[in-house]
Amino acid sequence: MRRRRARALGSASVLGALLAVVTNVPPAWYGLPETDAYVFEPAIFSPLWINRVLVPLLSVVATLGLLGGLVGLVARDWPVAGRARRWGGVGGSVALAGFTVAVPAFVYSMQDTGGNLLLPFVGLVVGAASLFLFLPSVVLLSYGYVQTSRPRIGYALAVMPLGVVLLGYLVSGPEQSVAAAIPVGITWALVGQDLMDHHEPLGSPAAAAEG
Amino acid sequence: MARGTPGRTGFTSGSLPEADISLQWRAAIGLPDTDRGSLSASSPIVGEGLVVVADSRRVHAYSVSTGELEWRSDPVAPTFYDSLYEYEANTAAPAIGPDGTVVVPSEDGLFGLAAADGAIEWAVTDLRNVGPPAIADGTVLAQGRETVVALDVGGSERWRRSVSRGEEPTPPALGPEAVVASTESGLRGFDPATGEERWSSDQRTESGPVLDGGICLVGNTGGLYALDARSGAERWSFSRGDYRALLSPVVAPDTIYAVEQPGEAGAASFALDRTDGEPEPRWCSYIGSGSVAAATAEIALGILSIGEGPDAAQGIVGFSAPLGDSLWAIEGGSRPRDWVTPPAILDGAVIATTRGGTVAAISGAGADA
Repeated sequence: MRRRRARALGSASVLGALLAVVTNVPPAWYGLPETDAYVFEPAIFSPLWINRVLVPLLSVVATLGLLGGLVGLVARDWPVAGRARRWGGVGGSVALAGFTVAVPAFVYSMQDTGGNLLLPFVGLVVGAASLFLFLPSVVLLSYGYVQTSRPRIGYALAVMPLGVVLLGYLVSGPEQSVAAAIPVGITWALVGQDLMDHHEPLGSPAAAAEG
Repeated sequence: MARGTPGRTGFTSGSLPEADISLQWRAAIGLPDTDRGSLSASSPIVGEGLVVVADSRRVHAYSVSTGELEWRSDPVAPTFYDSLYEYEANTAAPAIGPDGTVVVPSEDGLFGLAAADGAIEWAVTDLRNVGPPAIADGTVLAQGRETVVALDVGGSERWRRSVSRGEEPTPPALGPEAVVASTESGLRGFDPATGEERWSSDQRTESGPVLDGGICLVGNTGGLYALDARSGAERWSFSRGDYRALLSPVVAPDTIYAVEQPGEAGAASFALDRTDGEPEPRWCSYIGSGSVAAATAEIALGILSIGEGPDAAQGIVGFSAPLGDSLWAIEGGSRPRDWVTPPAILDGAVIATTRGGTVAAISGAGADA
């Protein structure tokens, strides 16, 4: 992979990691009040506008960034990757692409007051299918990357789902979502850093020794 | 008068406390303690230092500052009707004229009572089932079942027109451009000075027309409709969709409040932004079931039933106009005699009655009622 492309995708991954955490901060942190009414057109830059417009938009950007990072990782390492990394990479990329469809579908269905049932249905089906695909894909990816010469990506991918579940369990209340997003952010930040630092395919130590 | 202005906008200039409300005084009309009784208190009317409340037999006047009873009228049979909606009163409210005359709509006509002692000063007895009157610029306007009549404040007739109305004593609206009365088939607009008919419309309304700034606003099963007050031509309409009636509009300078009343669900209070002319939805309350009944520029007063079943309590909720946040609430109760009627707004205070005849003044802590 060309250095410039690897750096661009690595930057997208770091951005996605950062936004994955930022978009999950409790709304009260940016001043969203408890409301007794649905406000149709909140003022620009008001806490309601941030919650209703900016955060959903950044959530989509975050998902695209995560997708960019994973696609970059898979594309860079495809020539030397084994089955686990290839299947895990393709499955994970498809799942993240599914999340990029499910996230806006959920967002717009929450904002729609006309009773449209198609959007939430699409969001639910695509989101659920993506999640079912994402989890085994992460397991395959982590297995594959643990065996490379830079295994920390593999370890991060392995720990990420456990971290999400553990922090989601330990932290309750409004901070739960941001706590659960932190392992995702750390993992994709590591992916992004690896892409920015290394544009050549990442092989296993054995292959490197043979080479 | 009912709904604050002769145009029946429900808007009152002035302000209301945003927090820390407290009871200034409370009085009881003394109606029979039964939810099935025929006596039911009207909305309160404030003027000439009095709070005036009708039940379906007579009229009661209290001092606005102390709540002490000033007088009770002789029996005049104020108009009673069985309202479909919890957020309305069952008895038509009187109005107070510029000379202090208390004008009482009655089953048997229209009565003018002296502000000093409630004695009957004049009566128009050839009207039936009269709705809440409107008074402006020395003109008293009232609508009976078959007639709209304009009087001066001394009770002398200026003009009358035959207008066949439905069962509910829907009140007419009075503005400088027109008098608008609801009929069985829609609306009719009259010249306020001569009574000459200017226009008619097939837009029906259960809650009565509202006149504001040259616009006649009506809410019905199709939504909200704004008609030119002089010609009846439609200026704009606003709908939330099929089978979503928008009723009881309250019109403030920047906001129109209306209740969305689907047939099969609770009533949701809506605020529509009107700063750019045609209305745009601003907020829809999550709280309770009911309607905004009165408003200042900053606060809207909703009469809401909160909760479900026998535990549901009805009362007044103060909403902030920009975001629909509930600032405070005055609980009436769960029994029909504890249901609150549309309140009157003074500068800094709310005067409220329950159907069962409790009259109360509520204001900011430390304020004079």
